[in-house]
Amino acid sequence: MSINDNIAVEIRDLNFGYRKPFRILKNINFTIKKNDYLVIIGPNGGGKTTLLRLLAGLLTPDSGKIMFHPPNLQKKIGYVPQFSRFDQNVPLKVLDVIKMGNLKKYSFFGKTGNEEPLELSETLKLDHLLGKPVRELSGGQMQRVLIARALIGKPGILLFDEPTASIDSESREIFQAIIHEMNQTIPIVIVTHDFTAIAQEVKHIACINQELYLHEAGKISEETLQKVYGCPVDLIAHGIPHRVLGHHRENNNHVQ
Amino acid sequence: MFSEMLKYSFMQNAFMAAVLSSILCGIIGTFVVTKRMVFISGGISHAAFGGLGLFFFLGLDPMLGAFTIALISAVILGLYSPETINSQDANIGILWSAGMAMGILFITLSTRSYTPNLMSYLFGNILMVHRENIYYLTGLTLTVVIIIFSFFKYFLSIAFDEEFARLQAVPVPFFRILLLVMTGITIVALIQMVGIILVIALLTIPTMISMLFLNDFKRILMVSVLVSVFLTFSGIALSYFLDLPTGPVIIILGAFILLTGNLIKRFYINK
Repeated sequence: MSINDNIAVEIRDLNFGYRKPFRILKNINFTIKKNDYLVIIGPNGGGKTTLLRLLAGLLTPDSGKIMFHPPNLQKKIGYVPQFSRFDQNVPLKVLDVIKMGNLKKYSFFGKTGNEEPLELSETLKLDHLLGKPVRELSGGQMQRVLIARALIGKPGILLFDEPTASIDSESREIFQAIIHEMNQTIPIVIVTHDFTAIAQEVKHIACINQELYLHEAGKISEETLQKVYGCPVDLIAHGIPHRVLGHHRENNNHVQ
Repeated sequence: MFSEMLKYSFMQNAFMAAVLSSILCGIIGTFVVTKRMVFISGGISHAAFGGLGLFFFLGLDPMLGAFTIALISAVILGLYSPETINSQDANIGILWSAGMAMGILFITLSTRSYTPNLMSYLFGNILMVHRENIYYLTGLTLTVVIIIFSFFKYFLSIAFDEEFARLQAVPVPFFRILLLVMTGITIVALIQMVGIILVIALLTIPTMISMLFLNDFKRILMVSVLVSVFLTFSGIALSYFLDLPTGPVIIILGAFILLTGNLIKRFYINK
């Protein structure tokens, strides 16, 4: 097996900015392996979520390429957004939101064909909440619903945006178990501030602040993080103080 | 008493128009309220009044003018995503008042011998609905019902989370524009019933009443149709017996039920 056979996504010379000439991501190069568990960390405004949205195809790069192997992997992206991204004013039940993860297969009328959503809801301990309006769910419950919605489409890669933000310990355990199971067969990419909640099985860590530095998990040091954040960072519970926003280091070489 | 009322063909037309408009209101109104498109819909309806005035001034069918401008406004507004449409707040406000001003000016400037009753466009008159209008309204209602229910899962998933719909290759801008176009067409259809000023109330009140007691989009949509039928029927009957203008009676009745429902929910159900 060649090295390329093990690559799921290749990101080459990627540049992106919301408003020209300001670039939020500069010359990003890295690869995601087929069984990768990649965590993307970095300060606020550093481009973490932007990179994830580029990977998901929700944004188009200014230049550079994102190549999926095989190409149809691009159509099998399971994306779990921060739960503030959708419209909570739309009155929907949990079951309907889960079914939205596979619009080709499911409609919202009738009760036939609900076996798979029901099975998934049991795994995620959502079975008692299926008839509940999503706007009445706690943060942790909502996060699990969004994970179920991403999984129902049988994804080939999973992208999470701040999955453990404001969730309870039960949801955190369920989340970790699901990630462990899914990572046996597909790559996982997680953007997070809460590194400690997902650190156990991480294979790679990408530190991003306009530019990206990829490290094997276990080889990242406080010094490396300090370079990215531009200030001393506590590796166990790092957070980014507002005062460093806008401070960027210069003349660092990319690590691949 | 009721059978006497139904003897008149204009009353029969009014009730038929009420049923058809209620179906439109219930379906489109549920999207308008839950997607917070009320201000956008207000902009479209008032811009439509500009088109109405312009076509009247040119000696063309005023309702065709309203229809054309409503369509154009809907397409333009549909080009904006939910995240960016709020930044157009002031522009929609201008569209709103400029459309209104244009409508009034053109109607006033018209030199034709027949001057329309401005009040009938502003406040509508369901009793003036002709059989021909019923045919148009039937076609329109059928079209909206077929489109919404054929693509219901797409409309609903876009309403809840546009991004996720995009990930599944749903042509989001197309459906967003289509929904706004149907909203625009519905607004024009309702102008004849309740007029420009009150159209937004008829589009929102039935859904808001349904949302007081229901939490599921599909049920809210269905019940909104029934609430709208109840409101329009009661409003027509009340205005007939009390000899009052129908549009305002429908709206005041709806607002009263909404207020009462809110109070009941607040003090008895959520106690």
